[in-house]
Amino acid sequence: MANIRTLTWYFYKPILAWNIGFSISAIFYILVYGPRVTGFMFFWKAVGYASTIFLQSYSAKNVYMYYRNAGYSIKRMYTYALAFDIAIFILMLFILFTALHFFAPHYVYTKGR
Amino acid sequence: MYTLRADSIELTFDGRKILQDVHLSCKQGEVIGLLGRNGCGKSSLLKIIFGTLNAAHRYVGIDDKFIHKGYHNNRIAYLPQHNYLPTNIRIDKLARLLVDPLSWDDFAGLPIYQRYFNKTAGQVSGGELRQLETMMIIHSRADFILLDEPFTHISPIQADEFKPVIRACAKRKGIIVTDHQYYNILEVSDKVILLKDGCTKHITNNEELITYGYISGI
Repeated sequence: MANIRTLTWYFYKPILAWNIGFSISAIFYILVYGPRVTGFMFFWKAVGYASTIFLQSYSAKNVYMYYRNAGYSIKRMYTYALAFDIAIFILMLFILFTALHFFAPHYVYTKGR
Repeated sequence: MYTLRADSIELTFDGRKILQDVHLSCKQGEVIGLLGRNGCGKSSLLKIIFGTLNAAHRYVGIDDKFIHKGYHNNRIAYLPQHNYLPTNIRIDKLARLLVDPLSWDDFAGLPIYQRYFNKTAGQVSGGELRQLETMMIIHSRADFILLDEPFTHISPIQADEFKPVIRACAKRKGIIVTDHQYYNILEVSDKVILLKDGCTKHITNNEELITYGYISGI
């Protein structure tokens, strides 16, 4: 079977910008409204994933055959790629909350008060 | 040596039976030519064997062991009619993940690969991309290869280059090939199967293709 890490990267590359966009917008909302919207931002990320799958199925379905010929199902490729993306998002959240804790402990959320 | 067997396949579209009495087996070391008119279900049959099309009933097995999805664990590879390579990645990087390491030297020595290995699929012309994609599938890790119209969209000279490669590959793999260029199929195949009215007819003499109304003369 082909190298799954490389295959996952090739599969993730075309959807990276779209999903990073969802991650950055989620981080922005957390900065504005505070940590209490973090749960909702995971839902926002799920919307990003649903739209990714829809757009890929519509515009890039032909390349699915490449991954199947490498021995992997498309469900599996999405699982690996989206798990990688959610790991990046969690890392971004961790960095954000750590930075706020150390550098701006009295940061006041401006909205929703 | 493994044997691929497809049996009891029944496929219906909008109440119309496309496939109903299909029996097909392919051993490693054998090339099976699959012929049939437009819309008779040749591509559908290959997709069912590969595992990307669901049929009402189907049995697909290798050495009498049922396989749910042909592509799992590189048992079966499939060349679709459309282009399938991602367009934004270099061809050599894509090929390394698909091509069998045992066949790498043969593949890397192909003139078409030598010309375009450092380009992306988007930078290669349609016919040449088709040739590259076909070669990647033929040299892939799979035990069985399904080729859906490999001779279409390429020039006659390129088709002539394919045939010895298919024959050489068939020493290690089982190959099922379908195309409308029946003369190429007859030339490259050990056995020929005609799909007619949803049923497989095992052709023992090329004259039967006239009898079944597939061609008017040889």
